[in-house]
Amino acid sequence: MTFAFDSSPGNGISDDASESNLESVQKQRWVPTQKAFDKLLQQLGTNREDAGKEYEILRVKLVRFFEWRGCDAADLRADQTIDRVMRRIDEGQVISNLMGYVYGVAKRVSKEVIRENERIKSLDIDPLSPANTEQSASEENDRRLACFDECLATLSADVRELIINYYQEEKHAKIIGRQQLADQLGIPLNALRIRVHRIRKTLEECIQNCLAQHA
Amino acid sequence: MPDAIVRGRTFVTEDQNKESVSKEYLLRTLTETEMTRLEEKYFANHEAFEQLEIAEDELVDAYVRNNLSSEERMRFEKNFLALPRVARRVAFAKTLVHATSRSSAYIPQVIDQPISAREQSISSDRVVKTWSWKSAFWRLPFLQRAAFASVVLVIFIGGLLLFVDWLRLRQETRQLAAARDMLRQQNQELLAQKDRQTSESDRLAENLKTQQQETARLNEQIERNLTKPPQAALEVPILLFVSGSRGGGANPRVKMPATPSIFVLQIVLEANEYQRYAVTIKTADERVISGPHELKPRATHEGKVLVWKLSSTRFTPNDYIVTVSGITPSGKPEEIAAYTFQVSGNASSPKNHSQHKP
Repeated sequence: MTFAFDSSPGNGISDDASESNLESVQKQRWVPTQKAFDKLLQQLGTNREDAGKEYEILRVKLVRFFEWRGCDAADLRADQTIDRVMRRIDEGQVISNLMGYVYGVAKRVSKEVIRENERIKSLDIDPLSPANTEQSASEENDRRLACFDECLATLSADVRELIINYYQEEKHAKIIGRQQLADQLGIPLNALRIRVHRIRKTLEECIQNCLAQHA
Repeated sequence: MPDAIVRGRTFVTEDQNKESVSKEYLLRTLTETEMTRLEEKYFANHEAFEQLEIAEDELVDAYVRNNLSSEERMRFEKNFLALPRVARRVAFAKTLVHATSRSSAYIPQVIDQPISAREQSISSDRVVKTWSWKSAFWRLPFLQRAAFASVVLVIFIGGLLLFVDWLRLRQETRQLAAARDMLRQQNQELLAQKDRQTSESDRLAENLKTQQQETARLNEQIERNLTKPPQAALEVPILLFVSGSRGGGANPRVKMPATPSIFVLQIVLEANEYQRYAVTIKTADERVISGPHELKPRATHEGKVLVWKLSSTRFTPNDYIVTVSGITPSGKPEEIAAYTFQVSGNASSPKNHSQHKP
């Protein structure tokens, strides 16, 4: 696994907005290194490949955390969090519970983001300036449906049947139908939900790639 | 049947509780403490994180299928729809609903209006309109509704009659099947009886044939005998005295003749006190050979004697006892004496048989 470092000045975020400018500049000057990243990986797992997978999962968790907490630019916030953790490890801080530590840093970052947003709001600046995404919804839907069919065709017949059956029913019929589906497969309902969720993720990724190719 | 639904009652299972907490977290209705607890959990545990991702799937689906309450919908749009990732997921969910419904009975119509997270006004039919029989029925004019209802009623009554008729036919079929089984059983019994009778008839025919053959053989023998000069049967006299009298106590002994002969028992009476006598011959073990046979005494040089002729074929080598009873005028027998004699093995020739020994 290779690590792509973003050495742009905006990558570093201060730990505390109230810290002095000097400290802030010093913190911003810290740039993640391969050595620091390797240290983080060592904390994540003894085997480098497994550690790489753990890193990917951790990053997804951080992105979702910032999204679910309502922070904008969740990817950026996740990277900031990881950078801070890497820095602490690189500086020699002993961390016994890495996940708990990462969570603590992420929470601090999220609070900073909220404070920042409140400051921006007070300056009457719209933090979210979505681009005008007006486009033909019909064409987009047609493309999406075509991609869906294309991606669905790549799945095996039983997986295809499973996902279609899973999403067919509504409300109470859906609950009954899903329980019956789980019974047919001989697995608990929650295991079925997990299985379908993973298929759905694969399908969503496939559709995104397909749409990107046809854009 | 899900575990949560038992005998018509609905209980909240642990899974459902977790789902509910996850949903509230995503809609940001939990307290800070609750959020922190959940976040700590999913940072430490991949499965807990996956459950939240699943909860997000289901929230997006519920939004697309218009299954959220107005407050939930508002929160979803406010908190989520601004996120490009979630917007993509909503688009995917619409496609999923559309695609999966192509093979089902109803066809949800995904309305492709751009969704803005900032729009607070919520229209109930804005995202998904689901076609249903109920709503379509009530949208019809009254006359059409009445006609439709009549048709449904006729179909229902027709169906009911058919069902009743089917039940009756099923009952009749069962009865006929039972009758058929009974007849089959009777038929089997009759066939078995016929077989038995045929077998008996064959046996009788065989017997008849045997008897006819025997009759023919006897006839032939008779004919042969008729052609031969008549021969008098050989008579073997046996003179019997009462034990301890003139006979001297020794039993008369006679050898069994080689050819069937006549044993002439000459029973010498001690005294002649009766007009008639009843005589019986038994073996030593009391098996009756013949008798009681009524005899009248004859006068001979030995005195009054009872003469009884018997076929030698009745006898086998053995000791025999002859019991003589006098018959009173009233007809009652009174035992008066017993005589004994012995029959020994075959004599080589009728001439070799020994006379009684005094």
